[in-house]
Amino acid sequence: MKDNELWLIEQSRKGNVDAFEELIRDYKKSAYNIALRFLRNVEDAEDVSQEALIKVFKSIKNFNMQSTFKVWLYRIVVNACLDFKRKKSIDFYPIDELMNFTGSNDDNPDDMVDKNYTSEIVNMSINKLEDDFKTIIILRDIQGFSYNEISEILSCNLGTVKSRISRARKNLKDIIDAELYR
Amino acid sequence: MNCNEMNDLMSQYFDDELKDEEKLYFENHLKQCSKCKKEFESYKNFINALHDIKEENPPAGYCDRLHKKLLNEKSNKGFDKIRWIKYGSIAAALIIVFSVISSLSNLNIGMGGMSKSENSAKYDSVSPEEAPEFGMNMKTEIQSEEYDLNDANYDDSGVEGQRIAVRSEAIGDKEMKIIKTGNIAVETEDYDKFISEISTEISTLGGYLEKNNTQVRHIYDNQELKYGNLIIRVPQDKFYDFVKFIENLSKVQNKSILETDVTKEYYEKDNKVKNLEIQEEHLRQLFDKANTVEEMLQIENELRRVRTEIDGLNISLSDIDDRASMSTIDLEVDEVSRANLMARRDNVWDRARDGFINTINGLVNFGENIIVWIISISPILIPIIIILIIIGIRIRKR
Repeated sequence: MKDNELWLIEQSRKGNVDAFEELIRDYKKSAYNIALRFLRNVEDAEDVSQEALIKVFKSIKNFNMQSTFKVWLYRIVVNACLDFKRKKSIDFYPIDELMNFTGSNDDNPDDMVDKNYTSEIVNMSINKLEDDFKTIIILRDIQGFSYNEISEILSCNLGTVKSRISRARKNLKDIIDAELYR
Repeated sequence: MNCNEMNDLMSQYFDDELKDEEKLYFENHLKQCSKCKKEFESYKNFINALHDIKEENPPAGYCDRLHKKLLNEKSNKGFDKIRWIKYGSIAAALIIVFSVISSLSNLNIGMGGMSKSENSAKYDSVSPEEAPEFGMNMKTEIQSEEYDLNDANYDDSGVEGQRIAVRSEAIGDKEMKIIKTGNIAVETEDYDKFISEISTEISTLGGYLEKNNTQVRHIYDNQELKYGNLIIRVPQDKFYDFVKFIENLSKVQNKSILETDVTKEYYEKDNKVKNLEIQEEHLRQLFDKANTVEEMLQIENELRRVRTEIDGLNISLSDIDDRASMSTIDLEVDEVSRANLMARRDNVWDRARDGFINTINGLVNFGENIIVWIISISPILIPIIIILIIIGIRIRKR
C-alpha cells in the first residue's frame, strides 16, 4: 500500500477526481489488461474497465478497508468483466480477430518452434477455458497476483485457489495440446 | 508416490508454493520417473509461454476518456443518484398507496340495507328492563369509591399561607347525581292524538314539555303528514315509566338512552364551594381587623375573587341538580300514513328482492365511482406511472 493511499482514498471520497486518478494510476493498466484478456476486444475492454473504475469511484464511500484497496479494486474489475460476459453470453468474435491478437512479435520464430508452446497460442486458448478457470489464469499467470491476493479478490479460501489454479492450468494445457497435436 | 499426485504438485511447484519437504519429494520423484520428467519439461514450457504474455498498453486517449467520464460522473451527482432513485421510488409508491386508500374510502358504497339493520341492533341492545339494573350496579360501584379531593388540603396563596382544611360529611349521606337523557324517534299514525296523550301523561308524571316544534312535512293523499321535535322533561324517577309509555303508544324507530354519572364532579364542586365559603369567612374577619386602606383594598379584591368563584360553582351545581332531578327526553315524532305502515310489512321475498336490487345498485354505483375517480386523478397518475417506468428502465440498465 502506498504511503499516501489513505489520504488519496479520503480525498476521493470527497469527490476529488484528481486524487482518485492518482490513486488508480498504477492499477488502471492492469484493470484494462484483465478486461482485455477476458473480453479479447479492445473497445469492450476499454468500456468495461473504465466502467469498473467509475464504479470504484462511485462506491469508494463504501470501501470499508477490510481488504487492501488494490484487492477491492480488482474484485470490482473482475466482477464487471464477468457481468459483461454474462450479459453477452455468446462469444461472437470471429477467429480472424483472435489470430490477429498477438502477444509478442519480437520472438524469434525458431524459438517458438522449439518451445512448442507460444504465448500466442496460449493466449488464444485461454479464451476456450470456462470463466472460473479463465479468471484464475488471468489473475495468477498474466497479472501475477499471489495466492493470497487471489483468494481475497475472488472471496474464496486458499485451498480452493490452489486447486483451481492447478486444474485451470491442466485444462489449458490439455486444450493447447489438443490444438498442437491435432 | 504416484504420478497423479505429481500433477497437483506441479502447478504449485512453479509458483513456489510447496513446503520444503513437498518440494524435496517432488524433485526426487522427477529424478526417478522419466514420464513425469517429460511431463515436467512440457509443463515448464507451457508456464513460460503463459508468463510470456505481456501486458498491453491501454489504447491512446484511454486516460483522457476516463478522466472525462469521472468528471461527468461527479457533476451528475452520481454519488447520490442511486440513493435518490431508491428513496424517490419508495416515496412515490407510498404516495400512490395513500392516495388510493383515501380515495377508495371516499367512494360511497350504496348499501341501504346494512345501515338499517345496524339501527335495529342498537335499539335491541338497550332494553328498558336492563337499563335500571345497570343504574343500580353503577350506584354500588361508586359508593365504594374514595373521594380523593375530600381529604385534600386546599392551599390558597391568597390568604397569607393560611390553610383551610375541610372534611366533608360522610359519603353515605350523598345522593347520587345521575343525568338521564333519552333520544327517541318514533312513528305514529295519528300525530295529534299522540301528542295530546303524551301531554296528559307528562302532566300526570309531574313533568313538562320544554319544546314542541311541529311542522307539516308533506301531504300524502290529501292527508297532512306532520313531523315534530319535542323536548320533554320528566322527574328522573319517572324516566323509564315515560319511555315505556312512549314505546307502548307508538312504533319506535330509534332509541338511545344515556345515563351520565356526575356524582363525583358534583361533590367535588360542592366541596370547593364549602372551602371557598370558609375562606370568605376568614377574609371577612381579616377585613374587620384591617387598618390601612391598602390592606382593605387587597382583602376586598380577594373577597371578590372568592365570591365570583363561589357563584360560578353554584350555578353549575344548580344546573346539575336540575338536570339530575328532571330527565330530558328528546323525542322525534314522524307521522306516517296507514298505507306506509302497511308497506313496511312486506313478506320475505319482497324484502329479499329489494335488498338484491339495492345491492346491485350499490355495485353499479361503486363501479361508476371508480371510473370517475380514475379519470379524475389521471393528471397525477399518468406522470407517476411514466416516472416509475423511467426509473424501472434506468435501474434495469444498471
